[in-house]
Amino acid sequence: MGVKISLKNHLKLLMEYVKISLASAMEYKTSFITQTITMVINDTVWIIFWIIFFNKFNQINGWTVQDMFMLYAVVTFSYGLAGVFFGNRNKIAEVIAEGKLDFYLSLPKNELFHVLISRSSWFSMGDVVFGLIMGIISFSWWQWPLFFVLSLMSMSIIISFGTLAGSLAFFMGNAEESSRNLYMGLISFSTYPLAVFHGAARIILLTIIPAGFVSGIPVELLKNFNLKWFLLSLICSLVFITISIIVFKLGLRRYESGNNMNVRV
Amino acid sequence: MVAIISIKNLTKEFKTRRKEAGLKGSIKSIFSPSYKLTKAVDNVSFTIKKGEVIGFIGPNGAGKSTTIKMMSGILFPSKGKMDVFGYNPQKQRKDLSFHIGTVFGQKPQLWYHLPAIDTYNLFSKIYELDEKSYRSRLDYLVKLFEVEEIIFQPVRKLSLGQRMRCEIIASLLHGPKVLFLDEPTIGLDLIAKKKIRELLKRLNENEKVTIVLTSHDMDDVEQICNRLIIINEGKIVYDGSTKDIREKYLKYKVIKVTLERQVTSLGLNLLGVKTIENEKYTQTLEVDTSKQPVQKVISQILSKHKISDITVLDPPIEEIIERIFKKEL
Repeated sequence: MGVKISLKNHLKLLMEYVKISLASAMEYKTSFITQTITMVINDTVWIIFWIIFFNKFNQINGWTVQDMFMLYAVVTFSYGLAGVFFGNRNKIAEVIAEGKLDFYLSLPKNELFHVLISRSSWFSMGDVVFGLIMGIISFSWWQWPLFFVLSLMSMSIIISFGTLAGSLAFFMGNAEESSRNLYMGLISFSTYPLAVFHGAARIILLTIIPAGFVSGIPVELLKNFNLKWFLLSLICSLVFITISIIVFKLGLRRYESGNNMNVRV
Repeated sequence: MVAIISIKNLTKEFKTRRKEAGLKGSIKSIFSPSYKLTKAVDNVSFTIKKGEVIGFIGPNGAGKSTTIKMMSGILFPSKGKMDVFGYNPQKQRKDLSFHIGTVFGQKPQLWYHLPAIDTYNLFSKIYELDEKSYRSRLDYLVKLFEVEEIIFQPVRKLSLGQRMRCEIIASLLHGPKVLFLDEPTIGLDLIAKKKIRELLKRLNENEKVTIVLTSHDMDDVEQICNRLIIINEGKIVYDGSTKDIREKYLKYKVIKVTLERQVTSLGLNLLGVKTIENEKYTQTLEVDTSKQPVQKVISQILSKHKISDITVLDPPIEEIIERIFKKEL
């Protein structure tokens, strides 16, 4: 049998999953709507915090409250997209530890891609909406195409980082807590202006924990486009995608499955 | 007939960390971890022919599931060679998946909050089935499994037995030539178990689908499998026809009687009946069915005593394995 494992077919599958998980979410409409609204409120609270903050200090190392709006546009939009389309991005450790990979490994699709897309966190829709609102407040029309491209790159970094953190479970067994902390770390750092970090901290945020490339650098690029930093961002996201795929593949050889219906760890 | 699956010297080792008890042990294991290699599957070889129905049985942790998972490409073996339809499950997992179906009793694949039909539609996309053949295949399976109504109800509202029937359909949509089932009857009541067995039998007869199932329920295997592989501590202890096992090792039944009044002995004087446990109100007997029909034993107990409960059981799988080891009979 000729088996085609093409990108197009995988994207089609992504849309199928979006449909089926939306249908599943719709089984509980109230919960779905509440979650979305809660997310918008959560994001708004943070923005209010920054407005108060910048009212008092005007700017930190050249960053103003307008820059924070842009940062929130990029951060919430890209995290939101990752959540809606690749909802298992922060659940990989669980999937591995609970032996749930069996399901994906018995089907004719790329297992990592399939794991990532098979869940949609619909309250991430709140983040997407919030990101767009922030975008409308901050961007001129010519900034939008760049915003979308940069958000896609940020999204890839977020997903790859989540995959890497989750793959720890292949190598250390009980890694759910550490992987969650790493992922949360990336989120927290990317909601602060890059300008507050100096020296070693800055280097870390542009390499090991690439929060700088998720939000700070995209904001700088949206303010003043710079080809060198754009290419560095692109390279960063490609490197992270590649490493996460390789590490996951290596981990698979150590996968132990298990039959536990419920495990205590 | 030709072998469609051949497994040679298959071994799977798991590395487990050893730790002394308590917090002290935990701290010690951080600084000087010691590992223990456990062989979940130990140098196993066998071949499977087209159309066979094979039961893999053994106690918990014997290596049944691990073997099935290696054959379907889910786990990497530590050593050994596998050939499943000419594919190497580790290197050609995706190609292989078009030819095999897997059902894991403890790991549902159906979307919990949605009707089964939604999952089926998704599976048709995953396997890239063309719409027309998918529809006719689904119609056929839905009729065969008698689930016409229930595939439109949310899975969470189905009984366990109905759910398992729907699970099996999901694994059959792409028309696999082999169906691997891991504990398909786990947690089901007797009637639901019987139903699943009948369906699997019919599936094998109608479509010549090769079926490999694991179970720790001797009944399952006795009813539908023509070949039996008994596995214990990772090693094959028996590979042969179910008939032989039945004749040699399933000659025993265990009868458990709970009496209304306490007695020291049941006072039966029958050939081939042995008391194996004697408690205040409960007596456990072992009956050699080649020497004494179970019915006769029961009727004698009933005529002599007032009883509040009686159960007839097959000897547990562990005991059969023990007997095989001891080469009894």
